[in-house]
Formats: sequence, structure tokens, C-alpha cells
Amino acid sequence: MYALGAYAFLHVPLLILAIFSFNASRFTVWQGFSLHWYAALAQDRELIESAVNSLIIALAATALAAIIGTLAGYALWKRGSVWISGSLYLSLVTPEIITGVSLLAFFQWIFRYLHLRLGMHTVILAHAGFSLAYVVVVILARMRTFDPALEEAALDLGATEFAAFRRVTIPFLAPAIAAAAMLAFTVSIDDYVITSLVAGVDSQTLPMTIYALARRGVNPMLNAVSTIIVVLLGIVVLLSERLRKA
Amino acid sequence: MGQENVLELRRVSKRFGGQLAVGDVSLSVPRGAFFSLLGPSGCGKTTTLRLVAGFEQPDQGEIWLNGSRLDGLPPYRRNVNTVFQNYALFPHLTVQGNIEFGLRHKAANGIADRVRRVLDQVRLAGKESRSPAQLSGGERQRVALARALVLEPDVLLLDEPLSALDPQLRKQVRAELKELQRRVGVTFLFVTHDQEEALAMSDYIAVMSRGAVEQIGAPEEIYHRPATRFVASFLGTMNWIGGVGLRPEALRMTREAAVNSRRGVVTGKTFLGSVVYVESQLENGEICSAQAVNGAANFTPGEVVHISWNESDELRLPE
Amino acid sequence: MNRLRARLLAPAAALAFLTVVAPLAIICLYSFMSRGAYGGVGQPFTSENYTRLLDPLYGAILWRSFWVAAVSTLICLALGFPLALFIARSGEKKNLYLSLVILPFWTSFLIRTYAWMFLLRDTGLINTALLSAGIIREPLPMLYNNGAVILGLVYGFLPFMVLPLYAILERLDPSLMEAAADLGARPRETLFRVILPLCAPGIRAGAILVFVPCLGTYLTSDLLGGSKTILIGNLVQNQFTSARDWPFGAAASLALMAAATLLLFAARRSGEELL
Repeated sequence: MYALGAYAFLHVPLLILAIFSFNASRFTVWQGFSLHWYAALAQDRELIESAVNSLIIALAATALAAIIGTLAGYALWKRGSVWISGSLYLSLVTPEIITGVSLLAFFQWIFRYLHLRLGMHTVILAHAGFSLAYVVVVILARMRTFDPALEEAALDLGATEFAAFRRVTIPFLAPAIAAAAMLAFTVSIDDYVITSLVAGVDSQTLPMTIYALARRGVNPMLNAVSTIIVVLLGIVVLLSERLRKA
Repeated sequence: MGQENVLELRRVSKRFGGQLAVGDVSLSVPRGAFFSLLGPSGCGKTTTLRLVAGFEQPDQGEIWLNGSRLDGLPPYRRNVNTVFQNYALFPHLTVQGNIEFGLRHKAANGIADRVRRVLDQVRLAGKESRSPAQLSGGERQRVALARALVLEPDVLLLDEPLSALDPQLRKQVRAELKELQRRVGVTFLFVTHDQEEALAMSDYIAVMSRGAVEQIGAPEEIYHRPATRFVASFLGTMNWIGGVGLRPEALRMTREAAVNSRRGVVTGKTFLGSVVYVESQLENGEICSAQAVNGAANFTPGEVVHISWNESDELRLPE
Repeated sequence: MNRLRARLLAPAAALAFLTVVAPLAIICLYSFMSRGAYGGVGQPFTSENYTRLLDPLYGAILWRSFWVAAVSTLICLALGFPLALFIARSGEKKNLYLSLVILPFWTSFLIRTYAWMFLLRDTGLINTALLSAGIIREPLPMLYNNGAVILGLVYGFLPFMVLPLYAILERLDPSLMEAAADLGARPRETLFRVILPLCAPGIRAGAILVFVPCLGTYLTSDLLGGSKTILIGNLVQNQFTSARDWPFGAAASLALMAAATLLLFAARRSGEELL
């Protein structure tokens, strides 16, 4: 009974949000089922553009973090490095807002010497940075179940170190890499706090648009966007969990 | 030994963080031999094997294979292959994929033929497309063998390859492995801590203790003429009576006193099927174990017995 | 082998340096500088930014951040403990129930916060429903106060409390409870005298895992608290954007950072395997 209440607390707000995305009225009074707001969504240029930006950023940041993090996780498995693990741990415990302002301060300082401005590239770099720790954690967890004799066997059978990594270790890591990439993707596509601080004029993301709409007032279109995002992210997370346990 | 040596270790030493793992070891392995490294865990036998395989580099000494220096080369440049303790089969590849793994780095001609031949040799034909997880312990061990043998190594290194099998299977596989070695003619360097295994299979045994080789020789020689007390105690049971070593089968146990016999009291019996070991305590407190044929050993605990032996069976060994 | 390892680590080292180490170092440096002419930073070096944090105006913000985080943590504990107990005791369906707790955590934080705005607003679902039912005449002011922020934080971070508690409860030997009952303890006594004491490391870990992000929250207080519930996170953001006093914002950041790392360090020492 109690547990039912707790689960209701966790899930009902999102459920109500989703239900009202199908409301015919623009007010919070149920007036019948309609896909009107989903249709309106498809017409909204700002939303579509920011969604495309978010997707580009998330894909680029995920690719960067997944590749760099996989190599690093493997190397850290061979032998730990206090400096790298320390920095990654720091990035995990730093409150988002501080990550955001510190990146802003750092980029502005660099831009005094380089002729660059805030934009898509700074957002991608920031996202790759905070996703990196997640990737390394997942890869390291998987490597801990790896039998080092498998690599030695590959070397013994004539593979060079690189060939052993590519032909034995990477196939072993594949599900973990996919899971880590999906995690990186979800944290990237969802981020508002850090993004809003390091984004430029050309890089408004979907969460930034959602934030602006949410501040303005009740808007059923926002419910529709939210529903779509929650469903898509839910699928990605479930897939990633399954891969991690495989 | 008179034969040509395929592998030689010359005064090889290896330390791990100050701890001596292998100290000044020299070995010569004749071509085609079944050569065992025998010793308790931590004696340096596995490290020696890993030095030959190239997973570790010696701090001192030289390793020669077929007349050329081996130490310094990475594992993938050495024509030796390893059967790992837990086989280390690649879980993402099939039996076929595992066996072909090393062939990719060699000349491509005749791969299919070589794979088929080796599959026949280890009796795995028909199981090519299985994954390692679908195989029994014995089959996995044969894949590990096939994967290494297909590369035709100068020496095959085996790291306790029977220890992952259950005891029932172990004796059967022991005979098969010996038979396979004889048929294929490849030199085996075989690491084990099981003295029975080493005695049953080897042409030569090197007994190791605390990083050093204690004795090298044929199994009979090592058993009957051990060079040190350690070797004598490690292979089979050894009684120490008055400072000399005596095997249980060299002791005679009688109810009446004999010439030069010692008096003792029976303390217990260990039944081993075809033979029985009768333990007794001598008057000076020493414990000894005598072997008796089953049925001829109707001694009961508490009984007074007399123990005697031939002087020629005494082993006088340095500490 | 070592050269290969260095090459594999180099990109991660570079990325971590650019996005974690160097930015935090700059913040450290700025926190000891003065506000520049055009909103940037300048000389002289000073510790004035830190003493300003103790000013009553900002002291009130720090204090509010602290107690909002503390109250949220206590509520999470009160809600999370029975939930963790329920999951740990639900046999085969354990994993399903656990996923149901974790799943919302991975779906957009922003959207989950918006869901509460949708419910609590003056024109939101609850007020609209109550108004049309004639129970109230004026909309209840449920949004933009401390209560709304605490609600949002509890909603957001409850999984952080449930997970470590569950980890401990799940490993708890059931025969301990049977032994307590056998020795005459009633269920309530067993709970307070056996289960709770054994859960102490989990409670500690969960409390810190909830308290630290609550202390550093920005989005929840920004959206649900409005201008009335300014917390440290909002103070920091404000100094770096509209107020353009970077050195002071940097000092506030470092104070927050120090509190967070100290707490997490303490937690790591007390219950390492849970974090």
C-alpha cells in the first residue's frame, strides 16, 4: 500500500503530463482526445531547429566520449592513474552549475587568445567532458570481468598488442561500449544547466527551448514534446541496461 | 642427453618487486621430449613458462630457441605457443574462429587443410561452429590444444592444463595428452604441481623449489635417486629414520624382531585399494609409514611391530 | 606496453584537463581577484570575495541552501527507507521494482521539474480542479516557495536514497530478523533495534548522495522556487550572468565545491563499497 503511494509519487506526475498532451483544450481542463499539439509541434520551427541542434551535439559528444572513454577505461584497467581517476571523480561530484560557470570562465579566458566564440563546438566539448566519466565507469566495470589471459593468448597466437586489443578486447567490450554510449547520449541530450552557460547564438538546444517555454506558462505543446522525449529516453535507457547486463 | 636441444635457458633470473621468482635457472629441453616443470605453488615454474612464452622478460640470463636468442622478443614473434590454465578461449569466437585466430598472422595457404587436420588430431571434427560456452571441460581443453598446435610451434607450453578438469576425467586426459604428444612429435614444456601427473607423463622432469631447479632427470631417476631432501619428499612418500630416507615400499614390518630391526607401535592404517600404508611410531618418537600388500596387513593399532630394511634402499641426502 | 597505455590515456587526459581541471583552476584563481571594469576580472588579488559570503544577505542564502537540502534529505530518508525495505523483500520482482525507481531518474530532469510546474501552477491541474469543484475560490499559491523546491528535490533525488539502502537491506541476513522475533522482539522493535542500526552505513551513504546534489541544485530552485527561493546554485549563476561579478561567483562556487567534496570524501571513508 505504502509502496503503491511511493510509486505513484514517482510516476504519476509524468503520466499526467503525458495525458494532457492529448488534450483538445489549451487549458488544463480535459476536453477530449486530440493529436492537435503533436501536429503543432511539427510546425514549430524553433522547436525543430533546437531538436536538430541537440541531436547533432549529443551524437558528436557521445562519439567523442565513447571513443576516448573506452581507450582510457582500458588503459586504466591495465594500471590505474590517480590523476585521471581523480579528475573524472571530480567531474562526477561537481555540481552542474559550477561545471557550467567554470567552463564559461575557461572558454572566455581562452577566447582572449584565440578568435573563437561560444557555439556548437564549446557545447560539444563540454558535453563530451561530462560524459567521459560515465563512459569510463561503465568500461572499467566491464573490464574487471575480463580475463587477462585472453589477451596473452592472442599475443601468444601471433597477434600484436594492437591486434589483440582490436580482435579480442574490443569484441568483449562491445556491449559495454554501446551501453556507455547510450548513457552519454541521454545525459547529453537532457542537459540544460551547463549547456545554457556555454551555448552561443547558433546552438540553442531542445532543453533550452523547453526551459524558455516552461517559464512562460502552461503550454500543451510542451507536454507533447516532453512525452516524446520521455518515451525515447526510456527506450534508450532500457536498451542500455539490457546491454550492460548481457 | 645426447640429443639436440630445442630450448635452452641459461642462468635465467626474474624478480617481481624485489621478490625472487626465478633464480639462476638453467634448462635444456631435447627436441620432441615431454618435459615437465614440477613443484609446489610459488616455486617459479609458471614464471619460467611465462618467460619462455614472452609474457615476462628475464632480468638476467638468456633463452635460446632453435639456436637463436628468444628473450627480448614479444610473444607474437616467438614460435612457441601456450595452453593456458583456464584455456583462455575467446568467448566471442567459435571453435573454428579460435583455431584460425593465429593462422591469420601466417601465410594464408592451406588454412582450411591445417584446421581440418588439427581438428581430427584432437577429435573435435563436427564441433567447429560451437562456441566455447557450449563445450565440456575436456572439449575446451582440446580446443586450446588445437589452437596452439595448428601453428606448429617449436615448443608447446602447457600451464597446468589438467587442473581445470574434474579428477575422473583427469586420468583419462593424461593418457590422451601423452599419446597426442607422441603422435604429433611436438616438444612439450609442461607445468604441474601434481607429482603423479609428472611421473606418469614425462620423459624428463625438472623439480623446482623456491625459484631454483633442484634436480633434472627421467621420472625413475628422480623417484629412486632424488638429489635433495626436498625432491625426495615432494615425489611420493618418504620416511626419515635416523637421518636416512626410506620409501614405504622399502620397509618390512614383522611381528618378530629381525636383524637390525627397530621396535615400534602401530598408530593407524591408510587403505589405498590395492595397497595399505601402516603408520607406526618408533621408540625414539619418529613416525614411519610402511607399505603392505592388502590382505597381508592385519596389524591393528596399539600392536608392537618390528621394522627393518635393506641397507641398499637407504637414501642419504643433503639438507 | 607502457607507451601504448600512455597513448590510450592521452586523449582522456586532454579532455579532462580542458573540461574539468583547467576550468576549476581558473575559478580558483578568479575567486581571489577583483571585479574588472567591464564585468570581467582584474587586479588586485584579494580575499574579500570570501568574506562577503558571510555578509547577512548572502549568509541567509547559504543557510537556506543548507536547510532546504537537509529537510529534503530527511524526507527522502523517511520515504525511501520503507520503499527500499519493500523492494528488498519482494522476492523475484525485486529487479522490476528497483527499475521502476531508477527509470524516472534517467528521463529528463528538466521535464520532470516541468511536470510539477504543470501540477502546482495557479493555472495548473490541481488548482484548476479544485477551483472547478468549488472547493477553493482563489488558486492556492503552491509554486514559487521553499515547499515547492523541497518537493522537487525529493522527487528528483529519491532514487539516490533508495539505492544504497536497498543494497544494504538486500544483503541483510533474514535469520537476524527471525532471531530477534525468536528472542521476543515485536516487529516494531526489530525494525528499530536490529534493522535500522544495521542500515547505518546505507543511511549515511544515501543521506550524503541526496544532500550534496540538493545543496548544489540550480534548476529545481530556479523553476520551482522562482525569485523567492534563491539558493547557492542560483547565486552562482546570477553572479556569472546578470550581476557579472565573476570573482564573487567564483568564491561562492568554491565554497559549495568544498562542502560537496568534503562530504563525499567523508562518505567514501565510511561506506566505500556503496558509492
